[in-house]
Amino acid sequence: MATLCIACGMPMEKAEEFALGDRSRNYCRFCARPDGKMQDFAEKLKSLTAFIVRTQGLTSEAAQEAAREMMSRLPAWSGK
Amino acid sequence: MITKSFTKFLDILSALFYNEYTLSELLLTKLKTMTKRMVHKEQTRGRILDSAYALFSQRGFIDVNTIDIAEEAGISHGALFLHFSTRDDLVNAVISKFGEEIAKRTHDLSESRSSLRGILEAHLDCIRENEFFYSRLLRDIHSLPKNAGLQLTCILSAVSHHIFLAAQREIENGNIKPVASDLLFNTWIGLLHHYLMNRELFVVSGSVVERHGNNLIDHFMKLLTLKK
Repeated sequence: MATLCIACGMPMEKAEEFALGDRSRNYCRFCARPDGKMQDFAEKLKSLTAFIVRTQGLTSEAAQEAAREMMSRLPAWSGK
Repeated sequence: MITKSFTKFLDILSALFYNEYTLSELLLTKLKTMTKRMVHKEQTRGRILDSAYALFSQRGFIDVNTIDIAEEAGISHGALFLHFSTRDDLVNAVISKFGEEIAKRTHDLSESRSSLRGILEAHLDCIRENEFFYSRLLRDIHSLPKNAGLQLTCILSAVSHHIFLAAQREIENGNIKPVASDLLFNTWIGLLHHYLMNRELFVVSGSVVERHGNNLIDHFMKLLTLKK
């Protein structure tokens, strides 16, 4: 049963999908900094925006708007 | 005297324990009631989402109102607004639930299929399971609240990511031509969405994906495959 990353919504099942390969963490490896701590709002917004640009070729403005909408629905960023 | 005091002590003790027992019983009953209410609330919310999903799939997003959805879910119109304060909230929640399922299904299916063709088949499997809802969503997206379009963008990025991971492996192995990830995805999704949005031009009834899916994959792969 996959759990969803609280910061980007990615389903996580295998240990390597969790931050630092640690199943007890509730965020994924893509949302972790090199030291394993979770990225902050600004970092995640930037990386998600870049992800959307890379995957669909949108303008960075359009991609950032979509990234903000996505983040607003995730537990880690609610109310931000 | 001692016996009298002891009896009094026992009375106090039993009253204390009785009260504690009563208190814990009361708490337990209260907790059970609260849990039941929460479960019931969650079930009703799920029923509303399922009903909205079914009606949107059949009739599109524009022609279905909250009265229809409440009726389908077997609740009063007023009760629907205890769960979703506006129709837009409900629409966004239905799309959000759909997006979560698509992301999870694509993720799961991608695990078992590593070739580009396999991922495209997995994508079509996901679409086929939700084909009528998805086609309606594509058609009506510009009439829906802006959040709906933004959610769709995020869903598509997740799908694109999985498709490109597979494509990258095939590019490295020299099986397909090097293509940018955004254009690779936009070419695939442009083709697929055209068939879904104009479904009545491509099938008399039933599933477009079932009727044309394999042809679309064959064609797309042919465009990309390197001749050896």
